[in-house]
This record gives sequence, C-alpha cells and structure tokens, in this order.
Amino acid sequence: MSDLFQTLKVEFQDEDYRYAYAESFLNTKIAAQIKTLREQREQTQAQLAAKMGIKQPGYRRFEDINHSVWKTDSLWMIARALGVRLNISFETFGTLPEEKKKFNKESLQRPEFKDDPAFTEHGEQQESNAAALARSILEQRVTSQGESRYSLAGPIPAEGVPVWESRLDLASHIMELNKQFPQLFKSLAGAQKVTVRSAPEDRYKGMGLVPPPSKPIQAITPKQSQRNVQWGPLQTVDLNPEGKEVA
Amino acid sequence: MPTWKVYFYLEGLRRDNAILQWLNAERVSVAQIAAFQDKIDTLEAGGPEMVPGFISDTPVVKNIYKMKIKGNKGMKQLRPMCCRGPFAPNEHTILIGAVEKDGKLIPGDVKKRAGKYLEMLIADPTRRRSERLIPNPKS
Repeated sequence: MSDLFQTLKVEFQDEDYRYAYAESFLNTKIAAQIKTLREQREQTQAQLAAKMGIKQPGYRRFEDINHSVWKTDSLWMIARALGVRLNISFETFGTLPEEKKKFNKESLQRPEFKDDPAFTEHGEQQESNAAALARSILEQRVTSQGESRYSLAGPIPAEGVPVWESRLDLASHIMELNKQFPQLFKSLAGAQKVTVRSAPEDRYKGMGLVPPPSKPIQAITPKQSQRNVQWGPLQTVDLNPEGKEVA
Repeated sequence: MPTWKVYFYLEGLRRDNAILQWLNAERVSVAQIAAFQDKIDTLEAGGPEMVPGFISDTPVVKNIYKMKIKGNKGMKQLRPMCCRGPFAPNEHTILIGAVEKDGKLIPGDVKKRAGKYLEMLIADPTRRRSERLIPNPKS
C-alpha cells in the first residue's frame, strides 16, 4: 500500500484526477458501509427499507457504489434505521491512501446504539473481560505470508466429553464474543476477519477422535452438543464474523 | 500487501494493454479513468464485497462478468468485461472494454470476444499484466 501512496502522490498532481478519484472512493465507502452495517444487523434489504418507509428497489441503490447523488436527508434516514449517527467531514487528500489501506468490512462495522459499549452498563469492563477470556483460549501463529492467525489453544474438555465438543463450545463462544464486541479481535491482533473452521476429518481420525457433526458450527449450541446426538459425515464450514457461512 | 489482484488482458502480437488502448480510443475523460482506477484499487484492497455494484453478481455469458463505471450526464457508460481468476481465486482479469448505450453493449460482439480472450489467456498465462491506467497523467 505504500506503493499505492507513492503512485497516488504522482497521479494526484492532476486536480481533475484527484477529485474524481476521491469522489469515487467516497461513493464506494458509503455504499459499502451501508451494506456492511445492514449485514452486521442480519437484516435483508427489504427489512431495512421497511424501517425507512421505502420499498426495497428504492433502497437497493444505496448499496451500489455507482450511486452518486447522496442527499443528507436520505443518509440520516439510513443512519436512523441502522441505529448509528451520521458524520460528514472534510479531509486532506493525504489521508486517502491510509484510509484505503484500512478499508475492509471490520473497519466499517459499528454497533447499534443499544449495543454501544459507551452506553451499556460497565461496557468497558465487559469488553476488557471478554478480551482477557479471548486471549486465554486463543493461540497466535504467524503464517508464511506474515499474517497472524488464531486458533483454539488446545482442547480443555471436561471429563468424558469428546475433545471436539469442547472445541465447538469454545468456537461458538468466540463467535458470540466477536458478535458482542466487533472491534475486539481486530484490536487484539489487528485481525482483518474472524473465521471459525472445523479441522479436516483426517486430523480427527489421526488423533483417534470422533469427527464433529455435519451441521455447521453456528448451528451447534452447548445444549445441542450432547453426546447422545447422532452425527453425520464431517463438513468443513468457514464462517464470517457474523457467523454466516462463507461461500 | 493487497489480498486481491487485478490484471489487464494483453492484446495482439504487440501485447498492448487492451483496456488502456480502449480507453484511449474512446477518449475517456481523466475523471472517469480516475473513478475506474479507484474502484480497481479498492477491489485490490478489500475484495469484491467492498465494491458492491462494480462487478455483476451473475455472468453475462459463461465466466464473463460485466463491470460498471457509471458516467455522469454526457459521459460514457463504461462496461468493461472481466473474468474471475482465471489462475487464482483472489484475482480478476479485465479482458475487454465496452460502453453501454440505450441498453446495448458496444461493440456488439463484446461478450463473444471476451470469452475468446479468456480462452487465449488460459492457453497463454503471460497474456496479462497488472498496471495503472494512468501511470503518470502529467508526464
């Protein structure tokens, strides 16, 4: 991305170019954040449109980066439907490359007012406790590409409970923490996304363990993960931070 | 280091960037090229989900997707065609340029040509390059 900064430093000498580039990025940013916030709230376009008192086809354009005629009134309506405030500010061109570098789904997510840690009782303490818990059950490793990855820090099963069951419980716990504190994992290690993945079947076989169930991890709750459940063949499922299956 | 990468198809014996050539031939304005470049940079920075509406969700013909760069009044409606990959899942290759007028793509055979370019690219992976649309607008 520092390469991008050097490139833009040259390209931005052209006034028309830099204003068009910045305008395009602004439109992209607004559309991408509206989509991200709607998905974070697990709502459909039709549901959010209904909250705003408009029809889904009318709403759809707000999630299109090619939409360029933004009205402040419309943005406030969207903000209200999403439970966040609207902030408009003027910036220097120099901050644009850095903003682009950090442009990802996690950086655009915001909690609704009711989940805003600043307004929840003991919010900071809760987040601090969650961070401590996450640190205690995750272990960090660095990939050959230099990316940080976290995995469950070994099974901690109760007596008589299959190893994978305790791991699933931990995994669902992590998903819950991440849902409650969206910035938590990012702040822990600069993580770009949180994915919960079940291990390949071979690994379980090699360890002489029972493979996990065919159901996606997010479908498993501690109550369901009892030993009398009949398990099907293993499926590997990747989940996004909202617990949805990644295609 | 970007997670995603965007390449341009190299056309003909001289292996010219097909998209740069098309932009020049269409006399596309600096402002529209800047908007196009911004979308490519954002795609490379965050992946396709960070640029909703840029690449069509469904292919226009097999394995070919339409990109959309809206032009304001009087500007051209740029609709270059791209494919996912084709050599890695986290990359896109822009194969050919097109504009949309009155709901029709110009040139008319753009989908067919895009498919042909994709076949040629798969046969010869060196037929693509990653570069800026305007490396230096003032030079």
